[in-house]
Amino acid sequence: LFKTENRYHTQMSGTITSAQVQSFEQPNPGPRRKNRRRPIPVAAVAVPMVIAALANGRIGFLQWPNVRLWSTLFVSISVQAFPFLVLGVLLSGAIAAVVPSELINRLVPERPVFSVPAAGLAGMALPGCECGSVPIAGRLIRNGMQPAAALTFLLSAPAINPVVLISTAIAFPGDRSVVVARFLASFITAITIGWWWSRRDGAPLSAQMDHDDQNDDHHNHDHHNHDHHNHDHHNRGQSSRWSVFIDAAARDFVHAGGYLVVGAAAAATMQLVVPRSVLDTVARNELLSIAIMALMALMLSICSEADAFVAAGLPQFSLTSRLVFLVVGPVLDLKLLSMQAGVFGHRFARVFAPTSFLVAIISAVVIGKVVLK
Amino acid sequence: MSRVARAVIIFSIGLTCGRLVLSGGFSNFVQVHMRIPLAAASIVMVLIGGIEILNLLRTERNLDKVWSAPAIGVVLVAPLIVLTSVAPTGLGALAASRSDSLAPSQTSADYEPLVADASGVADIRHSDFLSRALYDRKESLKGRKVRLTGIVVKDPTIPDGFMVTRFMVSCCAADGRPMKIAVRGVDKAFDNDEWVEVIGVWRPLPEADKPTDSEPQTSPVEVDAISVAPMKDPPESPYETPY
Repeated sequence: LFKTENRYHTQMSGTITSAQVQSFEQPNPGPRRKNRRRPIPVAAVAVPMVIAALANGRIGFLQWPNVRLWSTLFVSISVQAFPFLVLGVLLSGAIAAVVPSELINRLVPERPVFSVPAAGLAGMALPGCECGSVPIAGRLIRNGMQPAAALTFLLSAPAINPVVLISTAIAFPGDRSVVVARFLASFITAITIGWWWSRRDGAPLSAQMDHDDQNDDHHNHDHHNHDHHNHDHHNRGQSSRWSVFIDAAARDFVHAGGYLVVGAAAAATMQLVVPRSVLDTVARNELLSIAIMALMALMLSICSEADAFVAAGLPQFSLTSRLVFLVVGPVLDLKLLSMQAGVFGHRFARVFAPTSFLVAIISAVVIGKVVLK
Repeated sequence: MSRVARAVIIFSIGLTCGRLVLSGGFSNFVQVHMRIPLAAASIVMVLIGGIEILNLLRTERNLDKVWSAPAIGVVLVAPLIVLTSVAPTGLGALAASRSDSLAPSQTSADYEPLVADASGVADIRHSDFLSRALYDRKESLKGRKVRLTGIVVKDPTIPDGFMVTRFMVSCCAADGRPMKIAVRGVDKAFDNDEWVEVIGVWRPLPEADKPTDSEPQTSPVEVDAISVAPMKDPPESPYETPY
């Protein structure tokens, strides 16, 4: 027993001690708020972590090679995404804390004819990948931005920002047409979807977002936020702004992060189930390879900052089908699907995901035929 | 989810990522150049989680009463649980045996001659070796002693050796593709996943097996072993990157 204790202290000492302190201090979760959804107490978080640390290396099936490989894939997708997610939630927290919703409404043109392409171009300014842009787009909508413009930003930011374009140029040296084609096809996809959304009834989206707000905010900080900006002489000043920032960032992190983890698990599972060699043998047929590359973009859930290198490493596929891979990836993949459904609602994702998937494929194929040799 | 549960999750993820950076274990999952972004993200997560925990301890008598975050956040413990209970390492023999070797693209029309060290052996990356073996018309590898480092992957088609393997990773280990070079004429036995340093000489492919534009490489690139030595410490970065 002594050995166990020792081991787990060296393994995860900081994490566990803090978690343990919390769970022992709180044996009774206390009175709950009247709500359909019951809050998850801290013990639900701390106890599994303690058990996992104690089980370290002791449970046989956890050491099966396939389980270990799945774990490696799952952990690497998650760890790769955390820094980008943190960047995204810091920005979204900053938007919540310091950017008044009136300002967003004033800056964004009223008519979607202008606001959608403007939002698409604004996406160029956010260096990051898709994990960061989901919480930011959600925050922009909560703060009063037109959904059509925010969704255009959601689609364009991870696809056409400078980091992504530069890594595409590095991955396809000596062939600038790939970078041009990627930019054009992704931008066209984003604004097409934006305009399409602006002509639709936005009900499913806003309904879900309001619902989230009512259910999740016990202390409704968003309201403090609005009050604060409406009355600039509000005496809580800086400390209130700071707590709004921390709360919004923390909230968006666990929200988007939770769906990210679900998506990472799905992607790791798909990779284990579908061997790459099967994909390689179907690559010969053009139509089939476009379909396969679109599905691969969907299933592999690779970060948009790195997908160009993966596409470059699949020379058996045609250039157009690899462009489809590059355009579809930032628009839709398993982890994004999970994050979109979580942040914007299931009803939203059911309409938005298949449409953006198809628009991305068509736009990539057309641009590929025109721009690529 | 209660607000303190949320804070504990963020704090724990921050600590765990920070530990991965400090121990160097992060390079099993992501590229070495992610060290600084990951360290920065860890610090931010520890700070946000820590500040929240301290604030709640100071102001609330019953911590679990205050709640705010959506319930889905609880799955964020999954990576932490997997990291401690399975303790996964990097990609290994199983991942390597699941797919064919990556055939790197032609990196240049005119390969520079190899540069050897004092003992006449040239250090070479797997991707460079494979690219030269497949595309170099001037055969810059011919007759040269090279040093390859990688993991042992046993293969039934190579009774007198193994595949010395390194993964090409573009983003994170999830997109890793194995680069396998068959080592022939090894007289000692090695275990799968053991890190080894192979000194050997390229064995050119028969003319019929050379790749063409329409037919990619199928038979493995081979070296004749001169010496194979186990390595005490694996290299800082277990993977190769395309740039």
